[in-house]
Amino acid sequence: MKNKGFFLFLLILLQFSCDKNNTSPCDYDYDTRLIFEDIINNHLSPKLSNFNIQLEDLNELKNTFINNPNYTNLENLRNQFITVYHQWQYIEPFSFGPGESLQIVKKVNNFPVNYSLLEANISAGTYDINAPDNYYSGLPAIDYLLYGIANDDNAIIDLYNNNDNYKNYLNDVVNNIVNVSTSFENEWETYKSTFFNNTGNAAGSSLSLMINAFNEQYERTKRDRLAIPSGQITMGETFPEKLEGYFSGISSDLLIKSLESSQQFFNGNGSNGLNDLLDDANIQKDGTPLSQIINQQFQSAITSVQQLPKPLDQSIELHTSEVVSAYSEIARQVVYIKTDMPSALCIAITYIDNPSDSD
Amino acid sequence: MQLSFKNINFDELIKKFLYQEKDIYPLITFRITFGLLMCIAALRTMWNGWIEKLYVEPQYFFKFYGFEWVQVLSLENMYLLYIIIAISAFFVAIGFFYRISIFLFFLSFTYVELIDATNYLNHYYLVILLSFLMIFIPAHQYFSIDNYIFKNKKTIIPAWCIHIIIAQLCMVYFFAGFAKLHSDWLFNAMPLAIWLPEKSNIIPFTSFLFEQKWFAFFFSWCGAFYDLTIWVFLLIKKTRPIAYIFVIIFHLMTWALFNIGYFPLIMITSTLIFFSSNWHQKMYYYFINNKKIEIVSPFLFNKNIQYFIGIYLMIQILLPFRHLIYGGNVLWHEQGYRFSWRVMLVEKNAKATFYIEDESSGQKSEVLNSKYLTDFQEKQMSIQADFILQFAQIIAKDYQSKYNIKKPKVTADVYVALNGRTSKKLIDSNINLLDLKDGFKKKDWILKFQD
Repeated sequence: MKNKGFFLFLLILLQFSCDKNNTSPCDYDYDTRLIFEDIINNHLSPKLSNFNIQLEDLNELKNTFINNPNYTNLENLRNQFITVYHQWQYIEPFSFGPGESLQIVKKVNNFPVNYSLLEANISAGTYDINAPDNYYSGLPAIDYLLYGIANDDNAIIDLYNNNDNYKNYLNDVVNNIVNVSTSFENEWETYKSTFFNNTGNAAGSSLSLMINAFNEQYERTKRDRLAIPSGQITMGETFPEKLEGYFSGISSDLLIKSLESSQQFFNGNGSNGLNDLLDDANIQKDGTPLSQIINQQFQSAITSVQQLPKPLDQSIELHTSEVVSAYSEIARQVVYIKTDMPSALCIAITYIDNPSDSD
Repeated sequence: MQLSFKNINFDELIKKFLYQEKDIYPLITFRITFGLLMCIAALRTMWNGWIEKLYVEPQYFFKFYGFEWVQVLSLENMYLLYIIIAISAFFVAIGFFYRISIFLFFLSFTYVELIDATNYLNHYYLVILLSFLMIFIPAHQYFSIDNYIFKNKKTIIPAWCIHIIIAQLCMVYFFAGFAKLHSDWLFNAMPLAIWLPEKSNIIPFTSFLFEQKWFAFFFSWCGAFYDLTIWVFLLIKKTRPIAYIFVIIFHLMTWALFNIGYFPLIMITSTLIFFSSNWHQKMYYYFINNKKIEIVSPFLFNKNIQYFIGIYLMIQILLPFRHLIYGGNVLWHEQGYRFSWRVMLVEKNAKATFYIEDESSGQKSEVLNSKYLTDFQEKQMSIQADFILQFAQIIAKDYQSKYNIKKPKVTADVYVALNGRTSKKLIDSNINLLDLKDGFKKKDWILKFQD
């Protein structure tokens, strides 16, 4: 009697295990290594080496400007700064591995800048430019130092001419970014092979790191680049000075770039991206491939931001309804990439740390 | 022999099940292991820094309906409370002022669990139930410090003292197994198909197994079979030793694979109570060699006890079925989900976006959940409707203190992805959550689950 039951049990089991046609979730057989190699070799590596080359140029133009603060040198430096800030957006999603150990995002782009603290640092002449999670260094500090320290260009140049502390501060900020970014590139060289071989879907696997970092970057774009400055969470009370690149007035371009950067991170450079993984696993939402939904949503988010009149700090005051609808296009994506994608790929959102047991 | 209900003498059955004289020894093992485990568990919570994470970091706490009055204490007092839990558990183990200790343990442990419903776990609930039962059970009458203080050594107890705990454990297993009899678990191997591949590096040389789909099915079916039947095999004398070996294997395996704390240890130690008193007796006779002391406390044999036990068992049997009143998929709406031994049934990925609007001015705002909740709280809130209501109130209060809002309306877009599916809307996103009251009534603003 008992044996019979057990036999039946085995039989049922066998039946399920042989069922090859089922399209149940988590049932994908994709060599994720291809995705890792593509995103690093074909996307991060060229972007990062370009970023560091641009940073080198920034460094040289900074030296020229410090040695001779005049209008031409300031303009050259500013232009290069804008190039660098744009290029940075492609690096920002890589906040895992060396990005995490070096705290690359916080070191290079902790915005909004705390300019009163920054000014206090300059007057004091002593500060730790590399302090963890500070809001007075990185690209946001340069944004302020090149555009925000005085009301017009002559006054800005005067400050550099008359006060060595400004020169020193600018020098330290730029050098620090160069140092951090150089170590970042070096550490990736050694981390690469670990990353490629860390397959599977466990917490801490490369796929999980990628998807979590992708989401963190996107949430940051949504929250810090638009929601908070444009008053989406404060009943319409706006904070334009909290925009990324507020002083240089490039907030809108940076927002678009960061969205494009997220999309490229999702699609990879060649034919092996997260989108291909979703397609391979045949993941659909309401009958449409999820990868297609996500790419369309990226497109409408980018388009709606592009349609906002520049500069963004004025748009958020004057064109509130357009800003709200652009924001909702950006916000709509979160469900697809944070809820649907990890669920269908069976990846845990691991930046939620469970401070107890589960059952 | 003919079997019919007419022939069963219920009085006789009750007499045997509840009032038969039994040796106390299985209870002694139970008391000692339970007390020690709980003591270690409380120390572990403090050691891991969970008190800070669970009771200091959060600004707000989610409450169980009817227990909104339970407040968090200051950091020092939370530590004090946990020290009381640890010490009283230890006193229970050694049988020192047992009745006071177990009562104190029950109160303090329950209080802690009521502070934040976010942290609800079935095994905490089990600890509450077991310690509640132990208040009434004289588990200190042998092999205890109390024996020396009060000279109260007795070795005979009525059967209900042991049987009520056995019944409780049987119900845990049975309902845990019964809850697994649904299509996600049986036919999709969900959520084990998500969890097992993640665990492939834990047991050496087995990673290839963990990535196989059939392996998740194997685990799912074995798990359901185990939960549904293990208590029967533990009850039958002949199969008991083998069943217990399976208890050890099963729980140690789940302990290795999943982050389930001390639950496996509770089950491994407390199921020893299924073994005969002779078996337990041998252990204690090794330590203290003395005769049986066959004095019994008459009030333990009081007839009214059967009504108390009857009511307790009825509640415990009915509670896990209360989701039937709500209809729909309990894994989705989670009404009647807690206190029902539904363990390891769901993997949910959710995103809840709240909006607050002043209906008089039309001014609208999205809410940054992380300003109010820890990541863990946010995750739990996004999938449980009663928390969603509580959070709506929290938001409204905060925004009203900062902005001039005459007619507040709080709505939410809540998307939940259940067991590897893509997400669906959980609740009606037009409804003003401030208009709703929590309660046992069916929450008809939760949308039906569409597969």
